[in-house]
Amino acid sequence: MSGLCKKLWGLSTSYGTACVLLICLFLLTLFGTLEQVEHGLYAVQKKYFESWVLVHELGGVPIPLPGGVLCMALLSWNLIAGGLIRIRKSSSTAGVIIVHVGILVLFAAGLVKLTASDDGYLRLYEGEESEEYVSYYLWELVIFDAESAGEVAEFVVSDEQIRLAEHEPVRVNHELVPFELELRHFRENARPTREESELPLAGDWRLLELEREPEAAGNVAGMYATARSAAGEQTAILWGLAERPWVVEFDGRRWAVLLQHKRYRMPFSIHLDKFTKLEHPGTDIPSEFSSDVTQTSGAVERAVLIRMNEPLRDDGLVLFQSSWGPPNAGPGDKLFSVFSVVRNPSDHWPLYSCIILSLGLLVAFTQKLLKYVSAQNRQRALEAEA
Amino acid sequence: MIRLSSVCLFLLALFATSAPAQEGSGGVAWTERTLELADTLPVQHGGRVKPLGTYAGFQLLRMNGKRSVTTKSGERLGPTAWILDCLFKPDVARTYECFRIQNDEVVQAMGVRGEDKRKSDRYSYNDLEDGLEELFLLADTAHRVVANERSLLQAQTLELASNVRDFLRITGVLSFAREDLPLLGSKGLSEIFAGSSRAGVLVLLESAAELRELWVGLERLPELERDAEQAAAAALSSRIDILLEPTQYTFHIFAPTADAPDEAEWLGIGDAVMHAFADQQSGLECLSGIAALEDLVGLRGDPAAFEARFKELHEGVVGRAVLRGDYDQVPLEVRFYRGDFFYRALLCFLLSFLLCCVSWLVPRSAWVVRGIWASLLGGTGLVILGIVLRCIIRGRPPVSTLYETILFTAVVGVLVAIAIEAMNRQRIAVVVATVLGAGGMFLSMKYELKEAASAGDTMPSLVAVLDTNFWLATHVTTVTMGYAAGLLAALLAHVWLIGKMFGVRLDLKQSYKSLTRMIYGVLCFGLLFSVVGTILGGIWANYSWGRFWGWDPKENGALLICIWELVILHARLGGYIRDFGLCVLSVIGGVVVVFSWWGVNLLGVGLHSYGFTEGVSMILTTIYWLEALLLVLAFAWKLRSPKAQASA
Repeated sequence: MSGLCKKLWGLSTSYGTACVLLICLFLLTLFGTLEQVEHGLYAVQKKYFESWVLVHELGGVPIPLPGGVLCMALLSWNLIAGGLIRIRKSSSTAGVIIVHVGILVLFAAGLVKLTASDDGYLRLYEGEESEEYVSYYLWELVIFDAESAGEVAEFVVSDEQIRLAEHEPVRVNHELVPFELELRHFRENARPTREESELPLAGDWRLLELEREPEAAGNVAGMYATARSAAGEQTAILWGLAERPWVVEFDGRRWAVLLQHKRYRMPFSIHLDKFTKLEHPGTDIPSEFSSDVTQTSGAVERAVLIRMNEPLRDDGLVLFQSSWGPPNAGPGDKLFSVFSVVRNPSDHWPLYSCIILSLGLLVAFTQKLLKYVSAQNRQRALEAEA
Repeated sequence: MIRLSSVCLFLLALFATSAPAQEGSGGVAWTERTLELADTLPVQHGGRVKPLGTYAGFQLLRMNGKRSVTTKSGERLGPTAWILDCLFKPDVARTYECFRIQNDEVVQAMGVRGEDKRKSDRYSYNDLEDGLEELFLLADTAHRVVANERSLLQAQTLELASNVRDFLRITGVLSFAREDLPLLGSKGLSEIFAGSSRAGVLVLLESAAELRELWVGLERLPELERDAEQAAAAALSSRIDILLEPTQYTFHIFAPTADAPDEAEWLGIGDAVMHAFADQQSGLECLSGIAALEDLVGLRGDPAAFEARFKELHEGVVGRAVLRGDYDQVPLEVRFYRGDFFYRALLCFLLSFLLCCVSWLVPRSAWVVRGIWASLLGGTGLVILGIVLRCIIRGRPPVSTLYETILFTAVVGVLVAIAIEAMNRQRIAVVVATVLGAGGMFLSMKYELKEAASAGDTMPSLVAVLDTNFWLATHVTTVTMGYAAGLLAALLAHVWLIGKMFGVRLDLKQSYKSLTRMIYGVLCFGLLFSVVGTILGGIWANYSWGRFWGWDPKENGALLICIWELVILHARLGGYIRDFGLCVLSVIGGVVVVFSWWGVNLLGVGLHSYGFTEGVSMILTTIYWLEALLLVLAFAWKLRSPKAQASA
């Protein structure tokens, strides 16, 4: 190993680097917590915890900081190289090594969740059934034959593609449809207006860009779309809360274009049989929300009760009792139940990590405690002798 | 040599000063038995069944700032005597100065003159009566202002208006039994109620069938007569509504019958009257209770007869509660509040601290040492007993509310300090234990006042998502133990820094060395519980909402504690800090714990913005500044004193 490599190895695996990175992580967490008051969770999460570098303004003074991703990446390296490889291996460091393994499992759980999981919600009124859940903040553009009956073939433009249209036009084609679609001016949060705005007119309407909501789920996306073929072109505004899809007609066929939150298909369907909302007697403090559902998987049906702290887990998906509505429902009004749906391959990893960590910390600190007690006893014996 | 028994006798004498207020009453006093019965009468309020004494205690606490009220004649009334007076002798209760007003600008704004009053003083309802209309107008204006933009005066006005409104409701609960109903307002009513001169609603309920028949048959009457009957019926109905209105907002007294186990809500007096009038079984079963209440209003001047009739009411109410299993914890709760464990523990910790100070003067006195341990262990035992009783009463693990975190943090900190003292016998940890114990108990009493104002109870019903004893017992308990360790380490670090800065026994190098070892050990203990507790919280969130980590402020607060303790331990291991650095970082660690425990709740964002934290902001800011000052002084000492530096 060359001198430089040795130095780099020594530096990157040192306690000093660990301390600096931990202090950076501390500052990120502190600033990210305080900033939530003004900017909301979503914006803060993007800026502080899902970034590589950032600048935090403290009393008007800009402070450059490594972002959460960079910090965690370096800390992971420091942990593996310093806390597992470089560390002296002996019975006295066994506990610390176990702790480091536990932390790595936790980091791995986070990484898998970040890269390989998805989540959304499923809202059902009593008597309704669905086999899809909806993303809180990802969008998709769906194009389908507006006049076809039965199973409808869809052409879906993904969230990633749609977002590219924020800065420059994006053209999409598909063999199913006889036209090219050009997407422009994607805005995360917008609404159609007849008033003045920086964005161009489409007919009598144009989009008005709005401040992003503190919670990502509160944003309603909008953009301009132009359907183009040899026969001509048609332009419209697509908006996430539009009551009906935009319908374009080419060669006598009608096509529906719809901007909606991304849908995920579940390997089973859920039918809401009954939703129960209980309050503590004489108060409006909720004591229980629960949903009696029927889960259908092929020809197999089973009754399941989903309630707070008791989700339904099956086929890699977990359905949690999340909320209910409508909020202004009166007695006897039909209620709906909302389930959070999560697909996370590392669902149980934090538990494994917790067990490993607890074990490691117990081993490490028990060793230290025993050492301390025996030192105290020795000292007392010396004092007694003196 | 003074023996341990003498110390115990001293303790008992100390407790005598905290005995419950003399239960009595203005005018004719309630008998002891009546007070006992009233204290244990089960009522439903805030979603749970509790003793009337508990309800009264918290009402009085929020209005008066303490669980007693002193009459003009100097007699000290406990909460039960006070509520009995409110219910049965409202005219007397209105003379009690039970409204604590901390700022006389509030009464001045009401147009009330209190020449003989201090800036912060107590007022009776009668003192305030002339300004009530203005008070409610001012409160209405203050209510329209967003909560965090209200001025202090507006907040205090709202608080007083709420207290007065509750007082009016409590004193109005039995209005139905005192007032006459317009029973002779029409020909039809006169025929039914002719000769009836009793006040109360029972007379109405006894003739409910005839009354219903009269009103059902109104359509058949000639128009003129029908109009007169309808007007009389409307007047009667409106009067009943007005008289029963206060019963909706106070406590409910009639348990549903045992054959309705799914019916969790008890009936208030008003509900019972309406159900009985509608000939519903649930109401008819309450008729004897309503009759007893009406009789009791008439018997308020005759203590013996009142006691006998109250006993019958008590038996009826308790009997129904027992059948449903709703009475199980009521007697225990009565004992819990009578025990006043946390106040007594505060006295014990203070005594222990006092004796620690004495021990510095006479270090070799064995009785002082015994006294320190007796009072410290006594105080700790009282807190543990209090917490255990709360767990039994609530059927919950020790920590499920912000109030309980104070008790638990204090007792865990004290226990860890006692364990350290048992190991090294330096008599440092024991002093810190007394400070932590006394501070914790004092804070818990202060925070109880806030809980009284916001929830009217320190044992509130939990929202659905918190209704899981497994996670409360694991995550919440472990995280709170982490808080305790963080604070204990910070307190020990304060001792080290202040001792060094002021040159206290610098010759005892070994003691200072031992102190830093203690800090290190406590930090290790804290890290274990903080890390495990934080991850358990994430696992709870993952298993309840499907996400392990959401960057919620409370989650971040717990993470900050873990990271900071990791920084300290890694810096120590790497040799970047020595004793001074360890102490400085531990003091900062204490601030991080305070921020995580209380500070993030003030941000008003996230899922964990629970607990009533108004007014806490100033205390937190003071703590932050004081700690900053300490650190500045510590660094100044470190830089300017080479000798001290060398010894450090």
